Amino acid sequence: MIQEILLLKELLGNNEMIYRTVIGLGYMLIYPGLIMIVIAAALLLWAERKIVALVQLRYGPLWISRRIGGALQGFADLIRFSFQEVIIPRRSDVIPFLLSPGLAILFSVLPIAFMPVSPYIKPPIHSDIGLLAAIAVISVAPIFIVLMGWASDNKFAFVGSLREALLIVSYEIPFIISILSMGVMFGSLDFYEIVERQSLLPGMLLNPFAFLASFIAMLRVTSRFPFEISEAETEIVAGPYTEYSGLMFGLSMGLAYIKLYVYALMVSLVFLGGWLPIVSGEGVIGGFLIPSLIVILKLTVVSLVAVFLRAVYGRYRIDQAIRIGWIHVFALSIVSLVWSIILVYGGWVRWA
Amino acid sequence: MEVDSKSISTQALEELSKELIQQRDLGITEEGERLIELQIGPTHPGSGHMRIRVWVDGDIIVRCDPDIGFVFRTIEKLSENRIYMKTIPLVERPSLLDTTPMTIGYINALEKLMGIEPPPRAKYLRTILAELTRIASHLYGIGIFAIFLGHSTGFMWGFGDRELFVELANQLSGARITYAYVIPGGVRRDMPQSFPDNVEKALRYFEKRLPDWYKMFLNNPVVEKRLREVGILRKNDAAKLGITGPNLRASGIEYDVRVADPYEAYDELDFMVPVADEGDAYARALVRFEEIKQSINIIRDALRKMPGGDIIHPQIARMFNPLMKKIYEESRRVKFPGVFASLKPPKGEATARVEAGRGEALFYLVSDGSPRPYRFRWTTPSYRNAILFKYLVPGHRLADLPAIYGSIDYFPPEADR
Amino acid sequence: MGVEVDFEKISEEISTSIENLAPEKKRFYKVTTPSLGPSVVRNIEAITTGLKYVIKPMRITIDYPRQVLEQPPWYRGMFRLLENVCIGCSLCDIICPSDAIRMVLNPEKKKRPVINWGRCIFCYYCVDICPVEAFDTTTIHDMAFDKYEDMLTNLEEFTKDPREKDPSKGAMRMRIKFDEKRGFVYEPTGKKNGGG
Ligand code: SF4
Ligand code: SF4
Repeated sequence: MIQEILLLKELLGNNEMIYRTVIGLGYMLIYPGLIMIVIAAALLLWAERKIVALVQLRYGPLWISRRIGGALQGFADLIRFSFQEVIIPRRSDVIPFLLSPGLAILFSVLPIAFMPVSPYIKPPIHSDIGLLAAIAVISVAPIFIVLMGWASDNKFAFVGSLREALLIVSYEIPFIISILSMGVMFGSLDFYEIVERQSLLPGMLLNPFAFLASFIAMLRVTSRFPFEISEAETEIVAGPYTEYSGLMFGLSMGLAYIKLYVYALMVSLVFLGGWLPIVSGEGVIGGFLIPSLIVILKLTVVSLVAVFLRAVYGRYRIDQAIRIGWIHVFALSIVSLVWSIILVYGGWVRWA
Repeated sequence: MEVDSKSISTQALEELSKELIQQRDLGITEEGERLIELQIGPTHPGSGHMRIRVWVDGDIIVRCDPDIGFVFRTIEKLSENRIYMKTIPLVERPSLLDTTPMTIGYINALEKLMGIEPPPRAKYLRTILAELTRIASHLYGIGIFAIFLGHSTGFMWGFGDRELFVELANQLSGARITYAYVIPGGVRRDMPQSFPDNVEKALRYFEKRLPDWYKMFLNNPVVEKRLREVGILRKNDAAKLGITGPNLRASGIEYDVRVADPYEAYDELDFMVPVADEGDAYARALVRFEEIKQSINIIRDALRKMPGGDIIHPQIARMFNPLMKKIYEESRRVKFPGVFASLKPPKGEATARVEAGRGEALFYLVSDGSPRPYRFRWTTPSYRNAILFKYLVPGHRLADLPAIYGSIDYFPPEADR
Repeated sequence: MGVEVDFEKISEEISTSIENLAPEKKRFYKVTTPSLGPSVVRNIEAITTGLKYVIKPMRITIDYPRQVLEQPPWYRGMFRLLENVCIGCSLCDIICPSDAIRMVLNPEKKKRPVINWGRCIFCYYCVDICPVEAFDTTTIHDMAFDKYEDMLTNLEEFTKDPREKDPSKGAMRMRIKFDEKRGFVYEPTGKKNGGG
């Protein structure tokens, strides 16, 4: 297969620019970008329902594609959503109402451009501050969730987006601090170097505080239980998404899973050593397929744990969640930062 | 009087909110603009068949008006136009989860009018079915409570384990929810041979599952945080507002109709009634779990002490024709003698009360000697507890509204009748 | 005007008088809200409880409609009229709580009941009051009708056996067996549901 790609390079007239464009587009649109994300989100949705069903003494989705346990349920839902009528409330602010779900998804997918999944094929933008850039881009997405609620002109949506805004502030900061403390420890913000430097011990063991803090913050940012507060069904219908219907509703509901995919990817790169037992493979199979499978495996574990919690927890009240965010999680992230600094300055970790 | 934002005797707060709302309606002041009026229900996922109007200032509720009556069905008036037997399924309808205590109450009033008393075995069978429905009703309440907190496992477990008791009741009566099992003078069927055995198995299983329930739900830190110190109902306020049932007992008042005015077999059975002092949502949930445990004791005890003999009053059994008598003796199934189609209790009035799953229900029946009741009055526990919304909710956050709603186990159709 | 009412005292009195209504004090016991352990431990406990069920699933639902539940024979399902047993006494019509039964005349000008399945609540008062056992009962309850008119039966339809139209024909029949470990388990009865 490496020959094929090389062939592709030749086909394109050995033009580095065109080659990189094609690879970049493939990266963003097919794997690990958009199409992969849609597939992953649909499967994740199914896995969540299946796992939760196990705890709750029932079967879960079963009727669509019975043989494989209803795994196509998510896709069926997607198809159903896309053929439903989209109702636009008369009093809504139409342009932001229509655009914000798409924009939110766009900004949730964009960080993929900085994140590698294999040593062989580099992400479109390979930068030495990739980690920072990825965080920066994904932090934009919640703004559009707030915008959704604002544009719908519905009291419940309004309350929901206020909640989202409040919570995002109190959990994104611990997340950023704890992720960056890993950057401090590894002495680099480049994903490749971060992954390389975990070859002895994964980041999760090097700095467990950061892992815990960022995992909890990830739960909130991707709207998992027990922090599923901005959509709290019994209080405010569906929060910011109350007025959405049809495909738009599908998009806004899928948003959380898309974000979960991206965050889980980030966590598995920074804390679980990415493609690690394999250091640098040769060719497409050894350098791209197998490492990315390993990454996917780690990502799956992280996101399955995240979705499993739905079966265990209810949701916090917003003030409790904010208190936990600012007191416990924030303190934990500060501890992780201090821990990193101690490790680095104490000379416990030394990078070549 | 202390002014504590979470106490219900916050008259000052109420005054303030009234003022603010007036101002808002006139649209004059800054503060008026702060209030948002939210209509929760009747087509809202968290409201059931009722509307709750809340006014929130930011996230704090300043006023809450329960607006009941969306499923009002004029049951009292309907029953005045039907023969006595027809009202039995009718009283089951409003509190669909809690049917047997309601039929027991109605039949007790009717039996008092007719001057008959069921044989002891029928009383025990009634008691067992009533306790089975009490457990099922509490599990349903806890399930709904859990989903109000977003705890979907509690919801599914509540409904899943309820299935056990619904199925047991099915074994006894031949229907899963609307049993119509109690008839004047007795019950409709004897219990099948395998019943005590099945009950024992099911109870053992459920007792084994209770620790999981506690770990998953009551001890779960998230759930506990949501319930502790939320919706505190003081002892005095509970008395003043006329609250009944587990809500009353969770506020520390020792009152239960099963003890205060024993009906059916309750005075011969060995059981205790749990009371808690705190009066918050957590105590209410806890009391419900304890009541389930006590109901298990009652069922066990009743099965142990079950007397033999008839399940229908001899006066009614005398009216059986030969075929009916044969069926009754062979399969212990009570056929109705034709007189049931035109029961005419003598002139008079009777009251009966029962402890239903959600609290005390009172039945008042007046007969003028015709086959239809002259007046039938029925107060349901949910109706008496509905007032709690107005007093418990203000001062809390919007997210506490479902928690309080769930914790008082309010069931709108029962309140509306 | 200015009359001081001591609400606290009054409500104290009310609550004690309510308590006095329940004479048997020994029947009550206090549950104290437990002081629970550290939340970390309880978090872990809750999660392990959840995991226990993921690893050892314990389903209590059945795969309806591929599997259907076999109800006990006394389960109150749809029934039919045995026309030549009925004596036309109208008692079933009189007692039916939801007015589902109506008396009609058959070709021999005798009164016979017909039923509106849309109204019936399966209370079986009619079955139990019939002095001659003129109803043949089944345990079928999950019938679906296309139109409202289909639910109104005439005499011919009401005497037809509902088992012929059993919607769960061909499904696997399961019986409930109570069990100490699992609450109840479903046992296949071995019969396919073939109309009876
Ligand atoms: S079962 Fe009940 S509702 Fe149905 S026809 Fe007979 S009496 Fe009427
Ligand atoms: S009660 Fe029985 S005998 Fe009388 S009309 Fe009805 S079915 Fe016929």
